[in-house]
Amino acid sequence: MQSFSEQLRQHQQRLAQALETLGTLESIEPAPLPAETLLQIDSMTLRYYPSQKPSQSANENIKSARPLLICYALINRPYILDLEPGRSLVRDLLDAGHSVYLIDWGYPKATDRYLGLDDYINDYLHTAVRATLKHAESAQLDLLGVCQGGVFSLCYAALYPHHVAKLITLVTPVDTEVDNFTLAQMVREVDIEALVATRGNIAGELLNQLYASLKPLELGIAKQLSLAKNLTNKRAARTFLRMEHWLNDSPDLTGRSAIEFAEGFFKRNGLVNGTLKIGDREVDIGQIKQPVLNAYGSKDHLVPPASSAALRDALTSTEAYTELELNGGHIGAFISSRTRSQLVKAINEFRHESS
Amino acid sequence: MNNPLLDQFQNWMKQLESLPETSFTEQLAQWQQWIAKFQHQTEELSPNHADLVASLTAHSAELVELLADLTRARAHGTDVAGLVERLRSELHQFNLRHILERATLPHQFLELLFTQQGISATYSPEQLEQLRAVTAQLKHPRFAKFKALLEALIGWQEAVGRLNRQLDAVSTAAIEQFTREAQDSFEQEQLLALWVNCYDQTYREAFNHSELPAAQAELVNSLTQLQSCWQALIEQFADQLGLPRRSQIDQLIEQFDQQRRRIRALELEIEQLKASQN
Repeated sequence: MQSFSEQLRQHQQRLAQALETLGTLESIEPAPLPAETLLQIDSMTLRYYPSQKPSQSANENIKSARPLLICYALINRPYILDLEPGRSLVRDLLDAGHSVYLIDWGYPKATDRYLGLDDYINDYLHTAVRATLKHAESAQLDLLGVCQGGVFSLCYAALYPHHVAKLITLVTPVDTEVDNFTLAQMVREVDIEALVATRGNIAGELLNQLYASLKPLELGIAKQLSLAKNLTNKRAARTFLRMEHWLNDSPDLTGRSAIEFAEGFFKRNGLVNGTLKIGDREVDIGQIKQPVLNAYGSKDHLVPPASSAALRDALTSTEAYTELELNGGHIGAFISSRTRSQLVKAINEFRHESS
Repeated sequence: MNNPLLDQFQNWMKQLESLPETSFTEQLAQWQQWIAKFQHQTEELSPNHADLVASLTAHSAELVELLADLTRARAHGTDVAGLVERLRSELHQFNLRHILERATLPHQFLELLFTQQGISATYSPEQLEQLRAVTAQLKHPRFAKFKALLEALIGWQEAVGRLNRQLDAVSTAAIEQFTREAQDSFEQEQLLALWVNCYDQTYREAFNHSELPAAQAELVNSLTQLQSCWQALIEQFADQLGLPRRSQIDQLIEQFDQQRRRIRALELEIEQLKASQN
């Protein structure tokens, strides 16, 4: 059993180390891969990532002629997929020979409060898909949806099947009535229409508080108490500060999309029950015929594995369904180098199969 | 970078090597002096990350106090079961401070309404009774909106009380789990980590039953009602003062959105026309 002196000394050493690290650490800037802006509509931007390694001879047999379009969630920012060198799913996909495009939904303004799921899926996403196909000179693309972006991607594949050859869903919620889906349980009883009526858009800060309240001690005070451990050297400090910046960089959620997603998806379990409507079109994911790769984190506290895995039974018409359980959490599933390499390997095999 | 304060701190740590173990009270007092210096002289430590330095030192102090408390309890021969009651009220208050007091809006309302500072998140039964009595007096139609605001304030307080009771039940269950799993051989930081795990796990399990989600949603809904009543009152003042109302701004936003949709529809039509010509 350590004495208090020993514990205090250990803690002091950590604190001194952390203070020394911070004392010489420059301001942390994002370090993204170069990307071209292909399209900008309102707050939405479509980006294309040129290959960083033109000679892909070792990986040419993996590269698909079809482009891969990444559709991220409205909440949080997509640069988590390209956080820094060594923690970049986008870079790993490029290195594996994929042609990568990404939708950045941007930061909604107060005047965007009436943007709903119809706008996001039938307009912005559909326009981004067409722009990607035109740029890549391809008739179809593969769609990779992350979290809520996965829900959007499922809806899109059901509504516009001719544009999507294959579908990949990553940490995507499907069934909102499984046990331990704390976020769904929290949202279910909230009067979201009244919330939007008083606030307009749902503030990103409020969403951050909501996510932190899923693990109030671990993501709250416990994290702050162990701050010194994350700042022991410059490299660790840079990664930590970039993650912290991303965690706190939450865009607002437009009022109408918040209502439609909360009511249609969370409260009515619309994807599973077939009651989700986007605009005037009903979404039936049971009609999705394209092959699907469904990847999720076994320790995901935000989207329980059972919610993602429910896709297996919901896709009654798909030609081929592949599931990949990654040993990580919601973000850890694609931030950790081990799970990221498993994910990229699975994506390579999936896209290469009977391309 | 030259950090004289940090150098002094590191020299002090080297001196600790020669201090006897039993003087941890003195060490703790000196430590607290260093924390105070760090918090008031953050610019000497890091110009780039001063806010992070302040957070780091403040939470270091908090952690050390917790560790000191656990160590004192252990030194007096208190076993794990005995620590539990000590932890219970401290950690429950700890949780309340960091969970419930995120809702700053009612504090802003109260400071504006009653010109009082430092209102806590939870009112005493006497304070609530005073509020109810004031509200009951507001019978004239002229005070309808103000009365609705006070009723919403009372509703919010009642929701806070209900959530408090649910979080209390979570703490009780978490402590039972903690007592089962904690061992006398655990180091202090292990005990803290176990407590965090027990609490968060119990908290999530509580969401599988209806009471906690209902209590939390009620808090959010009551805050929304409070904000809505506050907005209604401000609209009334804005009317009286000839200022733009929130509802007028909402109408403008809706008109802006309709214009945006018209432009978007035209853009898509032009795109289709271009495509048909190519």
